[in-house]
Amino acid sequence: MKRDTLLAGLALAVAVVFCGCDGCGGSSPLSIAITTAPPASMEVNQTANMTATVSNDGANGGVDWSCTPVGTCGTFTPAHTASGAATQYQAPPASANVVITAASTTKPAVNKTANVTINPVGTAANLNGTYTFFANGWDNLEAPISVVGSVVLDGAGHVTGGEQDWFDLGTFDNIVTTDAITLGGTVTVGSDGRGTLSLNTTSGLNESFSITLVNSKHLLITQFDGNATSSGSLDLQTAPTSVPTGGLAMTTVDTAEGLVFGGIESSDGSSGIALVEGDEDFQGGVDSGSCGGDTFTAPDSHGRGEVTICGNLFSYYVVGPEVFRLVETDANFFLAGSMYGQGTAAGGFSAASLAGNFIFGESGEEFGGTGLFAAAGQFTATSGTGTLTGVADINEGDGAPVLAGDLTGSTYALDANGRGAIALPGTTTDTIANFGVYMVDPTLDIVDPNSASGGGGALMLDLDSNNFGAGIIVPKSASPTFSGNYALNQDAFFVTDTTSGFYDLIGQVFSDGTSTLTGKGDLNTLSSDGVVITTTQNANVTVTGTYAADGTHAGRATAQLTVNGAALPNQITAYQASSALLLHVDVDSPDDGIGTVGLGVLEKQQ
Amino acid sequence: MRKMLGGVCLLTLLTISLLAAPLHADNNPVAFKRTVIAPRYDATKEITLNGTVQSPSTKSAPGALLGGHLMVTTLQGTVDAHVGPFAFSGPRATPLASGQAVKLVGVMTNINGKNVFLTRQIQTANSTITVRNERGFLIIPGRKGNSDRVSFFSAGGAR
Repeated sequence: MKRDTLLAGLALAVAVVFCGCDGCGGSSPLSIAITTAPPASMEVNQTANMTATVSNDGANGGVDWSCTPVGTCGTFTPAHTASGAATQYQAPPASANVVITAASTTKPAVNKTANVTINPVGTAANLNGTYTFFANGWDNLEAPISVVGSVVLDGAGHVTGGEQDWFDLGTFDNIVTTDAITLGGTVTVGSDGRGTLSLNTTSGLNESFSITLVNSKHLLITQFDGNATSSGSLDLQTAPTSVPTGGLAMTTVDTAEGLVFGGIESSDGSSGIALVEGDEDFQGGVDSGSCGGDTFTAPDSHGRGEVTICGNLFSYYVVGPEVFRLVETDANFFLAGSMYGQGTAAGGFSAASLAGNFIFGESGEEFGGTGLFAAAGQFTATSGTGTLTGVADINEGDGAPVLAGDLTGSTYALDANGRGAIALPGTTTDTIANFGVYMVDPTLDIVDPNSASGGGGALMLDLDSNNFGAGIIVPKSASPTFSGNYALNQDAFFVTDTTSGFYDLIGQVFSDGTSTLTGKGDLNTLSSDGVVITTTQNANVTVTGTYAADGTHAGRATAQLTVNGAALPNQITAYQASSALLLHVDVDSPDDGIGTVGLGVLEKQQ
Repeated sequence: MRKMLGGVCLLTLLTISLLAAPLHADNNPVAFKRTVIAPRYDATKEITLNGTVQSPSTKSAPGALLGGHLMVTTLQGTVDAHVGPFAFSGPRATPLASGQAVKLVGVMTNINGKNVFLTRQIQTANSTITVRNERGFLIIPGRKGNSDRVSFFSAGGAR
């Protein structure tokens, strides 16, 4: 072989090798383009699909995905894709300025970048104005505690004032007090919407809450200190001069006396109010009645007024024109709850008002087991027949496995004033059978009173001989999704082999839309080993879970939730009202190795 | 919704004048059906058991009522007496030891296929502890009243 021929052959071989690697493709160099770019800004934890296309890559090496700052910039699934194939980018749990890089696997120096701003769910700057709050739970002597109040936030992380009414039947034995909230408190909000709210008061009952922002007008709260563990909400006070007006639905719970009470009120909008029809269940004894001649006062500058109901004195705090939080202050009973307006629907309700698809959740006391129960379910009501079908999970804490109880055979009826009743057969629901129903304005959102997308529903009471409790009924949408960031809480009682007690969990989780939950939370536990009651605040614990849809009952899902690395996960059943709201009930039994009775919500952060 | 609520003040007088009377009157209330459920604690069947504590336990066997149990030796044999989760916990905890003589007031029943004595009251040589009321509901911590309180409907101004 001649030397020239040898060199030419060698050159050709080299060219082939390098073309094979770089994809010479004639004279065009290897290049890459991000063909599906990420959004310029995303919320923490959110996901986005991205694609990049590599051209002139004879090796067909594909794309490697990476980002900076390394370790806190998010993740890619998968981190390597074929050219033109999608990867799913998940933003980190904390806000950041992220640079995403799509690089040719064949020639990493050939790459393209995209900048993404990762925004927090909210900030303390979003919390500006007067907010009404409530929380119900247990103090560090395992006695009931309730607080209702309003707090002024300045949008800069400071509490500048407020007012609250509360009772504490253990630590502060029987005190029922109106209390000024003073300067010096603070509010913080992290990137995931979790944060803290501390309140200083003139009584000295200073409170520390963990909070999770759902939106800037609605937050979940849990008292998170050694004095008590409790759960409630914090909602922007949008109309502080509002008074109860027209038809109103109300329900209240007295854990101290063992009483639930609710009904339909009618207010003249000036100072007169009357209970049109009401129901009570006093430790299994059910009664109904009405009362006239009650009165109310206009709210003060903090949105606090007073109202009598059947002669019993309550403080009320305004949330909006049709929503009021209540706490009884005369020590006749120790009731706390809410009152919702019925709007223009007042006086015109019929069975058709509750026709369609709904979910419900309730909790209260039961005759045996732990003494406490929780339940959630979903139903379809047909107004023409007054019948109702569906499914419910009832956890009586009685040791029996919690199953999906068939509601077939149930009936319901409504008065024109919005008071109604649901009667379940009771045979598949562990003797829970009779609900009192109190319809609210069909435009209201019961859970997030400042949202315009709730669709109404009803407050409810459990009016049984073996159970009494309270809850809510909310509309169920047709095709909800469960994906993104959700605020989470759970109010529960637990029993282990050696301890028992109460806990409140508040946090934030990200749902991948198919099967997993990941997030963080604060867990306040009040436990007794039979000798000593201990309060434990575990902040920033991991919350992970898996879930699976119920193939038989659309909208129902079973889940396992592991909190703070517990050896055994909690068994949860969730019922989905909409993409924005799920109610979940803990369905553990001793057969699962743990016993927990609890109820909670998942609310989409927006 | 906001626009509608903005008109509430204007509409309030009209709304109340039209609706207050019908709401109060409601002369045609719907007859509500109730499902009759027998109380699971039937006080008419209360009995008193005399026995000796084998073992107090906070642990529930699979399928058993959650919460504390006393295994009590009686003349009729060993009885599983449920006392709930609060009898052994908190400031009102009941100090009971193996071998201690007790008198239990309650109802024998069957739950989840297991015989269990629903204890309402535990009497020892020097104390009486009520763990349930007459309707069978456990006395949870902080309970203030008793089961013969007046109704909420008539309680206003009672004290």
